[in-house]
Amino acid sequence: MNRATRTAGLGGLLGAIALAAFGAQAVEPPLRERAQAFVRPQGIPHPADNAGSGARIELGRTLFFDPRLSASGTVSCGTCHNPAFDWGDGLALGVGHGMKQLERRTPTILNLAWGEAFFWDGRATSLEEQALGPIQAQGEMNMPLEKLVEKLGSIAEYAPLFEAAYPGESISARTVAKALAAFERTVVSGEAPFDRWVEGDEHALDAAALRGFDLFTGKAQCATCHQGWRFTDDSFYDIGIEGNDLGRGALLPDVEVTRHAFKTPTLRNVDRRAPYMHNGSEPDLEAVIALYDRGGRVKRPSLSPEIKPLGLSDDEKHDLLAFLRTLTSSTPPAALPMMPR
Amino acid sequence: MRWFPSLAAAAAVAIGLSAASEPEKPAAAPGSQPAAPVVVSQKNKVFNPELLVIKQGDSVLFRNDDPVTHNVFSRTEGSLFNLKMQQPGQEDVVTFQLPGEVTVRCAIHPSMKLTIQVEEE
Repeated sequence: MNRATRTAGLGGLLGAIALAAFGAQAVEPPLRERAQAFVRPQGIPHPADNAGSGARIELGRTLFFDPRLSASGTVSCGTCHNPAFDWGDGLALGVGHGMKQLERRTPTILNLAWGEAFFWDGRATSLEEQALGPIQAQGEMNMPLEKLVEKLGSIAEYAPLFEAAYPGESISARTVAKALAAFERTVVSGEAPFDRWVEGDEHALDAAALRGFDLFTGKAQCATCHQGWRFTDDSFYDIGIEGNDLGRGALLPDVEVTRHAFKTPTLRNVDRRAPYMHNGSEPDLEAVIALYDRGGRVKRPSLSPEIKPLGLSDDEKHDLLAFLRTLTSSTPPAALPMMPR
Repeated sequence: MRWFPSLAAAAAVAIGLSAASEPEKPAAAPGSQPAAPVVVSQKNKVFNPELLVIKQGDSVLFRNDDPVTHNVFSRTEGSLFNLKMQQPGQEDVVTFQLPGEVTVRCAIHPSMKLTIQVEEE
């Protein structure tokens, strides 16, 4: 057995002294310097055991939009992760098998190639692992894997697509998952006005949006969690929303901070993806900003210490909103594939 | 179990904070100098180092050098621990008694990954 002993470190003591000496407001670096943390990456990362070839991506795209992957034959991955809704469904709560309402909102699948943990509670550690979850879930696509393989095998035009993508591997749950993951990695948000500003275009953001970026990375502390070009740290926080859903706490029941904690969502194309939060409780971005400004609505032991009242003025809330609206790209939605018969 | 107070622990005492649990004092050999715990920093939501090799009975000091809260834990059998919420600047010491590979994570930030190889003494 291990023994843990807790102390307040010297660093914390020195930090407290520094704050007392220089005031509570930390001096933030200039906006251009802060922008460097938001530079888009070059290229899409694919794992070594599932390189993203054209054939794999095309097979994955076809499977993603094929409703025959569900028991009812009516629900595809793309039914809920609809590209016309920025890869979500625009609903407060998802709807699954038999039109039954689910317990959480459908998350967008934008930019998951860089993801660390998947689902709202992070229970999958790879896109390949994630892909088979909703297919099998009784409330979602309700399709047992053996039946899935049987069904796909009965559709003649699928066999050559699998052979081209994964030669010699046949149609299996494994190759279905790999193809879906390979396709999903290509779902990347397009260039937004904010990206053009990060690249040096001074006219890409207006004054309100720039003040909003200053708040986002400063006083409002949004970038503590919504960090980097994807605007997420792939981490889990209780942000003080009502409800009994334990979120990540169901996976780590002995770790209090994970109770009611859900993954930080990306903010890419965020103004097109209302309503918000894991349960769709916030109807618009104004409500989201108001929630954070008050430091969450539910104060419980698991509430993240990062969630605290912000003291934003109405003008500051307006500026934050102006900034968030610069994260939306104008990339047209993906074209639908022809279905194998 | 061995316990060796660190410089940081001494600093904590100096500012009037007491440890959460009373450390067990080692039966140190006369004249021997206790080894300080190996420091693992948490900075920019990353463990530093991310791979650590220690001897059975060695201690590791987990220090939160970030401005955000962390929650370091391990579910490796025989080396279970949960440091709960670690505020910025906070430090915790864990002593590893069993040899083997220990997987350490932050419950809040899954990108933080640390492997500790505990070698037999």
